[in-house]
Amino acid sequence: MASESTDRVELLQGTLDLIVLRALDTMGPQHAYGLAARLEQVAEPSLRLNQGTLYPALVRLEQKGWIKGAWQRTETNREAKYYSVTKAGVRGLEKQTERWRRLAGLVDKLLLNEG
Amino acid sequence: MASLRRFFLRLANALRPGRAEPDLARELTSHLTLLEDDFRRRGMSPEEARLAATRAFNGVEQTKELHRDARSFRWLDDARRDLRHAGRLLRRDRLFTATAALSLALGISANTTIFTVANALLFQPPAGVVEPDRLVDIGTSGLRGGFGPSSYPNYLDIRERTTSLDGVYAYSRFPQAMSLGGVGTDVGTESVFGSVVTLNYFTVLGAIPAAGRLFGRADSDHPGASPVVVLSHRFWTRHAQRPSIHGGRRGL
Repeated sequence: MASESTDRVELLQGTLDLIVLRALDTMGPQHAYGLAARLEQVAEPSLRLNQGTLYPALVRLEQKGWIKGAWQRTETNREAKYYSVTKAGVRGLEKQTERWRRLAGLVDKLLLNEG
Repeated sequence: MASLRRFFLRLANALRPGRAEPDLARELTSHLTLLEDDFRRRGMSPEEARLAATRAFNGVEQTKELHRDARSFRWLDDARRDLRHAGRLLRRDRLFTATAALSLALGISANTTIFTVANALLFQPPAGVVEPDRLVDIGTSGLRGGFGPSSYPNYLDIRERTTSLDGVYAYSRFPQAMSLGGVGTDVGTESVFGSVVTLNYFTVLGAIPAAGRLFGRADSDHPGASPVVVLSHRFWTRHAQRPSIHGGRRGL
């Protein structure tokens, strides 16, 4: 087992928003804790994620009008704010995914050429 | 579109910074509760679960700060807060405020005065000159540079040989104190300041007299030949009650 610190990935600026948007799109309405648990389940141990860092991403997406938050009850009858993707969010996700693919493809290509 | 929407919402939050706080606090509390529930399900005691939840979350206050940074323009909010604080301090310390305001007033008025004078003297074209942008100064510079006056013979040489200038006039560098009085009349004498200038002075400048005439080609610059004086507009208005002032003979 390699040492934790070198194997974990720090997220690039802006990629967390895309990840959160995508997760909400596939999972349906979800609260911040549910999101964090899901991301940890999918990405751990390679992703270093402080659950608190989800909040700036959520507020950014909400201000863009791509997600919407509403207070609801959980299955365990606790109150939680559930976020869901809006129509604009679906379009935004498409566009951002496309952009990310182009960027990743470019970086990949450059890295291969340099190597 | 999405970025614009976000910009305005951030602006709104910067102007009303506290508005989103209660909802955020409620959300964070709910988050911690759900974490705690999870830890309890894994067999921790309620006390242990609460501690573990707080640890796992990694700083509620820190998260609030991150949230504030993302949802508003922090610098704008800070600036607003600083201004309010400054206003409160100024209201509390009246003497300091008065001193500061007075120093500012003095400084600003002194600068305004100096600028007004400098503007009139240096940056505005002199009144009565036909083409001020074609006017140049000719002077002598020594070994150490600088810009000094020249002699009358030098002036005559320059005037003779210039090809690039329409005309060259000369004037005495400093106005000279003179006494002006009536010739054999009861008019009292008065001390005035006058400049000695060459005959072509007004011709080159293209100045037009408000009353009477200026000296020019018809006059002679041989010593004693044409003792003619042109009065400044200010002098003339000061003595406006005596219209006979021009065209008469005066002792100088």
